[in-house]
Amino acid sequence: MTAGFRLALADLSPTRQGEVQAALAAVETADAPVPAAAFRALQDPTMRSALEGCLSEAGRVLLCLPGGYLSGYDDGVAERLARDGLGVLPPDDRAVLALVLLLCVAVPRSAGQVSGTSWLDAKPTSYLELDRSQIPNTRVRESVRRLRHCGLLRFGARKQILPGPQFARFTEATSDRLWEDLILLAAPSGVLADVIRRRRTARRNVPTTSTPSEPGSRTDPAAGEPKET
Amino acid sequence: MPEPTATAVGLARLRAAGVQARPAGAAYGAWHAASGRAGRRLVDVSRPGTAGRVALGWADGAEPVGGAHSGVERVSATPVLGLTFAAVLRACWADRSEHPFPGRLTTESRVLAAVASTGLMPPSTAEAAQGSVRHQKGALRRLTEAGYIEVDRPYIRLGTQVALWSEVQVAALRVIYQQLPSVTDDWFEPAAATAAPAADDADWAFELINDDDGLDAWEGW
Repeated sequence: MTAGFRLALADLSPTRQGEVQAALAAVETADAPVPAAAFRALQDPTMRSALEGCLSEAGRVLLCLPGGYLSGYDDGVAERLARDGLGVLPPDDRAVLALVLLLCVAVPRSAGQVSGTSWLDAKPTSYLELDRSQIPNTRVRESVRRLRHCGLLRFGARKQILPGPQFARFTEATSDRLWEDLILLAAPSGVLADVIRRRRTARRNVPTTSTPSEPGSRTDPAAGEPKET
Repeated sequence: MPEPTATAVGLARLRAAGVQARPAGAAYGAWHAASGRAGRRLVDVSRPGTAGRVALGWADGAEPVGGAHSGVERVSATPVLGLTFAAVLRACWADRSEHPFPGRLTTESRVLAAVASTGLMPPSTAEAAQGSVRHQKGALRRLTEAGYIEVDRPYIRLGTQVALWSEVQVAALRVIYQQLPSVTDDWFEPAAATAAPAADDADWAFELINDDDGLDAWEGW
């Protein structure tokens, strides 16, 4: 299959369409990477290409992870949703999540206490540790509850707090950006923080190119923004 | 990396928000077509007499599966969550020959009474009983956040996630309809159930903030 060529769902036989849709439902809803062995459409390159096509139609991408596959948001789509305020955490939840990531991932990783590179390779923290922050205890608990419900945090043994399954759904770019944000938070005066800020400024200053109008494109009036009826 | 199309952004927004206003004119057709290409289906989740709303459902026969042999790992719902939702479903699903959505209104007290009627309760001390009611109310909040129910105190109705159920899924639930928790026909709705929320509702909400952990680790389950 040539690069850029992607099969559409409708190009497949009904049986194979069913296989692709079954794998689609799995990677979209599972709480852990779906093993390729569980679905033919994850093993077969043709059907996997069609699966990627399905995801792309909904602004999603297929992520190949240790242990299997999951779906995540396309980076451009995620950026657009965030600009529109969708999926943006309220300040308290953002602060608590940042604290958990610092305590569970960033600090242990820099101290050599966790060896993996995934957000889920983490050292647990506790309410006791979080209560040492400047965030009032009741608000910490409320934030942890909300973050658990949306899968960004989870409880481990003895109610210890850890990053949740949704962290497996980050693209590489999103994961890198989050890691950079933690560096800017934890060591804003450091050399690495300076490099990150320069790189981001340079990226913002790169002029973007416009794309011609095509069916389903941003400039296609048939695919305009939804209106109240 | 090519720019995402407007329909891709639209469907992504729909997925993230859960429910959106039904797009007008040609845009609706574009969303409908795109959802088909995405292996999904656009579902009308409007209630009678309200503005049109849509959500992203699954193609018939392609609903998400779970279970030990499916290869798909899922966090299981707690028994109190499942039982509470089952009670809401039964109370709102008047005619099992129909799809349960939109269904009819029920009340929180009826739901709690239905759960209590199952006999699946902790030891009947006053403290334990109060704890179980607290956890059921916590379950109602979790179900609201997940879109399975909508609460407009004191009333409860089924949420838009139920509207997404396919006929296959509804048919499976019809089989166990009579086993869903419910109260008997002569159950009497307390007058207080339709009054304004009592002051102690704020107290239980505060306790939940500090004790939501109990929803997942309630002794006896």
